[in-house]
Amino acid sequence: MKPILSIKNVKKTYANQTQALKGVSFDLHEGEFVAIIGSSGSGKSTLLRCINQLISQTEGSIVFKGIEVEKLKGTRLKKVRREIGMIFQHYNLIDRLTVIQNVLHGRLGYMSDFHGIFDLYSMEDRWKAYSILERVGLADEIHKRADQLSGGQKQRVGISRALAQNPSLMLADEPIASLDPVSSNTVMDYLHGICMEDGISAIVSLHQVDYAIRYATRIIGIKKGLIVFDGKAQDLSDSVINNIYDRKSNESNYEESTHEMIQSGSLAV
Amino acid sequence: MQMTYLPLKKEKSFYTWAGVFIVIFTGVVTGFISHFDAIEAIRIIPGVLSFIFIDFLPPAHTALPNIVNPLLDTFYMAVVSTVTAALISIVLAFLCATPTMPHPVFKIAIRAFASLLRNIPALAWTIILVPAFGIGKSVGVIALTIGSLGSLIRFFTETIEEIDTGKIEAIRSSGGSYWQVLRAGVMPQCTPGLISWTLYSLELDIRASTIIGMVGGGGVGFYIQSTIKLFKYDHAAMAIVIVAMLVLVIEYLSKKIRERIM
Repeated sequence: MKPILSIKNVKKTYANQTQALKGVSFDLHEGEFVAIIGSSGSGKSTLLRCINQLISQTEGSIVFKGIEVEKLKGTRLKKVRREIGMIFQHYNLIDRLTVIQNVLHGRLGYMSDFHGIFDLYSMEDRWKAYSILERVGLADEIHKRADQLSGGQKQRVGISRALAQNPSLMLADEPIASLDPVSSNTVMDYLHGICMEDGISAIVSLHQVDYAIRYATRIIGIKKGLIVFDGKAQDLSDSVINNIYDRKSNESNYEESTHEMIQSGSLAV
Repeated sequence: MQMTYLPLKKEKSFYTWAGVFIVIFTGVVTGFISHFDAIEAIRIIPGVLSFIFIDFLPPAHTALPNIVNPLLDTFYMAVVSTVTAALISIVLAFLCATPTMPHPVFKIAIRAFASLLRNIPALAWTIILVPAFGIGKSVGVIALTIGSLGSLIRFFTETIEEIDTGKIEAIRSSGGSYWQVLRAGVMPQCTPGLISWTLYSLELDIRASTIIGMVGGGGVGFYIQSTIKLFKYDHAAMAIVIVAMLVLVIEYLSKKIRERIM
């Protein structure tokens, strides 16, 4: 089967000489739910942003559905971007707008400048946005201002905005890093469930290894801009995790056991 | 336990003491050069007070009918110049602010332009423009507009630069064009700030338009100036009281509006 996304030897060096990516390659196939794990500064965010060209790589190629995205500009880039949904750690909703207005921003890629500037969303788009919000359990909140929602609700709006794009690929940059464990579970359940149901491939960067193991069909470990693990969850041994996070084994055991305690405690609530 | 002296701060360095000395020295020297006489300043206080209380007070309420029209003129001048300056500034600020500028060259050019306008006070603009346009309200409006333009471009640019760029990223990632990002991502974030600065500029313009009136810009300032020249101090006092009241009312209203929109 032909991959939906093919990343070959991607390198990114920022203007301040930081080497965020030092040659990353992998293929993503339809229906995969990939978790990218790695410590802060390992290059996860940069990698995700190269895929939809919010950041352009210095070297290497990224092919999405047979198109080399790094060569695109203007309208053709917009057309690729609208097929790739993205959700963010800090949700990035427009606080002063309503929930449904935020979701409708996902339709901008399909609209003319004129329609976008004057908020002329078609009734079809509005009802589509409504049904997506219904799906993530926010049908009663559509007219609330985005800043009145809880963190978990905000992220569900973020997912809805991405879904409004009719994406075939979903990028999630630390979607639960700012959420409490209960909201994290809800958000991951919706994200995972919807992607599976709709056949949307997903790349999700995560801080927490246990979430990666629970949801992902495949895990990619990144360390200092290089892939150090690419495989199934069951192959992710303790020593591999310690290598990804650059930890000594006793350190990691302590941290993981506390983490598990917190997890089980919160789930009991 | 160790009982030697434990200082709370590092010892003051030579530079700190040198700085203190320079400030005091400059104060004394400039005082001599400008013939500032502290004793004289205290000695004339009774004279000033008696001038204020005998010549200015009480304000002549009979002057009120003559004040209304110049006062409205002052108000109109302030409003027209603030609105004009705000409209021009929005366009220039978007061209100048880092997240929205089309090219860095705009930033340099517009900042230089704004700083030039800002560093010449509206009062000076009036004096420069009176020979060209003659005494009157139009000179006042132009001078105020130029003055507000300088500061509003800067305030607006800073407001746009303070927005959360992550939100812009979100609109871009959904396939939004430059104009759609501006409309959906930038505008909703900075509109309250832009309105707030415009109201603040209106407050400043009402005060400034009074002073500008005194050097030939028309309005209530011109009225105050003329009555003082005719020794009708109580009339001038009435006008000053009314201007102060207008400024207070505008300040209060703009504060209320700003609270609502933030």
